[in-house]
Amino acid sequence: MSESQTRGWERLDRKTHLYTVLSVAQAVPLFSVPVVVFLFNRDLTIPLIAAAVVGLALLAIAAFVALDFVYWRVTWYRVTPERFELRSGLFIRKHQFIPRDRIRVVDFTAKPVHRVLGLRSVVVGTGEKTGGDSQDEFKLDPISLARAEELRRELLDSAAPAAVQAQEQAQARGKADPAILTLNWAWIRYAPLTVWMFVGGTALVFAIYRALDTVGEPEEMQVVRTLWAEFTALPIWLMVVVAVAANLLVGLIASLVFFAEAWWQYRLERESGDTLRIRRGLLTAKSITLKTKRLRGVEIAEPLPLRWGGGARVNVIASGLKKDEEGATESAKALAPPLPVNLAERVGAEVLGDVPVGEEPVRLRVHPPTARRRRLVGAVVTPVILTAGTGLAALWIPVVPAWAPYVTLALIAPALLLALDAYRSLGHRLSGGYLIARSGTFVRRKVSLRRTGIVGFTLKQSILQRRLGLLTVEATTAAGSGAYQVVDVAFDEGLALADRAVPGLLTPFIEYDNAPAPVSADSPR
Amino acid sequence: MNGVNLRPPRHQADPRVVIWWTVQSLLFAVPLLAVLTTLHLIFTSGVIWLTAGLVVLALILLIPIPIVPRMHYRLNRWEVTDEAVYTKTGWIFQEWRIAPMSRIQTVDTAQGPLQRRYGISDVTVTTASTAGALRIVGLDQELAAELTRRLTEITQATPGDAT
Repeated sequence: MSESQTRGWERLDRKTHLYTVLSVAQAVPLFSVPVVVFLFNRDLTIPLIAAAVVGLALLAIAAFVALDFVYWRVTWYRVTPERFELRSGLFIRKHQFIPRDRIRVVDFTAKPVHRVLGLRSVVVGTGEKTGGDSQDEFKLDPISLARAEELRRELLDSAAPAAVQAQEQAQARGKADPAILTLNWAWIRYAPLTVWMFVGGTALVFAIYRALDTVGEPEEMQVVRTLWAEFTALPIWLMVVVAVAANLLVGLIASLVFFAEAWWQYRLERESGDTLRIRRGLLTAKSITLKTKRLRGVEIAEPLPLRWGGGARVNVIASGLKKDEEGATESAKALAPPLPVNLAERVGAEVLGDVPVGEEPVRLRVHPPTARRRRLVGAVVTPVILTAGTGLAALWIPVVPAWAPYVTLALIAPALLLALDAYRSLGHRLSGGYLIARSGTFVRRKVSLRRTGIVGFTLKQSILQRRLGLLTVEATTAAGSGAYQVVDVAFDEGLALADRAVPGLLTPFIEYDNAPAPVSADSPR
Repeated sequence: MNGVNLRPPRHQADPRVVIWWTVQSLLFAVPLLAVLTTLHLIFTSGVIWLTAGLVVLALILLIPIPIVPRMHYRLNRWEVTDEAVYTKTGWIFQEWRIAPMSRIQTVDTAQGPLQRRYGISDVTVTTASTAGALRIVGLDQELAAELTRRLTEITQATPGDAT
């Protein structure tokens, strides 16, 4: 690289070599297991095996450090007033950039090795997938924690460095703590009400199987065979009880462990007015920064078990939010761990910032009784069709037991309860700058969507809905799932709602059969 | 319905879409039936229930051909005002879509090989939402080009990134 090019260019942190040594070293124990087993089966002596393992480990470390050295030599980044640039590549040199005004994401993660060395893996990106000339996302791994913080400030807060300093001074004097929320360990009681509780045991069995599989054939191992033989020797009811109990026990432990791993040292704070920052994580520490400009709303989600426990999740609806990484124990849109539902509402309101906090949550408008009828009829019709199907199957197909139709018929009772609950979940409201919509049984979601963030409407009506005078109003937006629905609202009320949520958009397309008067029956918000 | 209603969009597709859709369906159904019939005649020794199945399949494929394209033509409507793009589709599942001009991000035209023969093309209007675009199917190609030009002009004149 010539003189003129080096101006302002920086490399990744020098400790990257040490980082590579430690990362490879920590993987050695795991990878040496199959090697040891392999050599042991060939009747080598213990010292020889040890020597082989150490030798292989050193070789691996040397190889990775060499690669890392080359990578470090050719990788440069810099921040100019217009853009963030990255140069990389040994044989094929790449020079990529992101315009600074498109940078929305500067997030860190730190695995344990990062943390020991005071390093961070940093993602700088636009939060979008465009596929144009410029890149959407760069990863700088590793750079020092101090440099990471500096970059975050530089790239996200460039407009108001003075405000940041003022805020930091205030913090240093210990005046206002800007934290909206910090972890309360009492919330761990909600952890068992999440999905881990039910899949934890099965997931563990799979993990163990995979681990054993690297060593040899799990089916052939004595331990596995004995366990399996003892298990299958039990009476059937006991087998079921043991399986369910084991799954729940492991699930319980897993859910608690995952909660601790994800939310350790959790802290949600507002910084200098226009960014939110979430920090959390036990082994892998994360820092997620969100510009409030990108916020389109907030969602309160209550999966059924969590709802029974009085808890709720609070999620952001924001444009350019990173997709969930594979294997992540927490979703990227989660603002907080599962919280008591009132607190979740408060945190949501505080994050949005322009909702009056501390007031009673607004009362939602109830949907018409025909919406309830639609759900009740569905709750009867589906099991009846199923019963007809299983009835015929029981007559003609020998393996289908004769009691199967009774089981499907009995489903009507819980289905009716769920239908009533689904109807109770329905509600909507315009409140200040927000369109609020609630629906769902298995996961009840209440969405507060910024009306200025609505980029269009899709109105849907099936034949069935037409007969019942119902309409589904879908507000489309540039964030989250892309569209949020007000399900089964009365037809005229739905039209009025859409018309008032984005004033003037629907007006030219609405007709009044009688007199061309504005909707007066509908009270103002 | 209590006196309030959505009026349908003003315009329909070009009448040539009926021919286009009909030809397209025939191009799918006829060769398929021909191949199956040939196979049936050569390889099966006139099993009656196979013949019956083939007849039923032929009816399922052929009966909608004179009906469905006309229904589509009648049901799919569109309109572009100075403020918004407005479309309506479907009968069993009716759907009205409205996108304000200020939130439109891209406008594209697309024309398949068969459409080119009949001089019609589709216009797709997308917003920043990932939940589906507005599609105006089967416009006269000149009209489609003109519409795209007009929409692009208006949306480029609008400040902001339409999110």
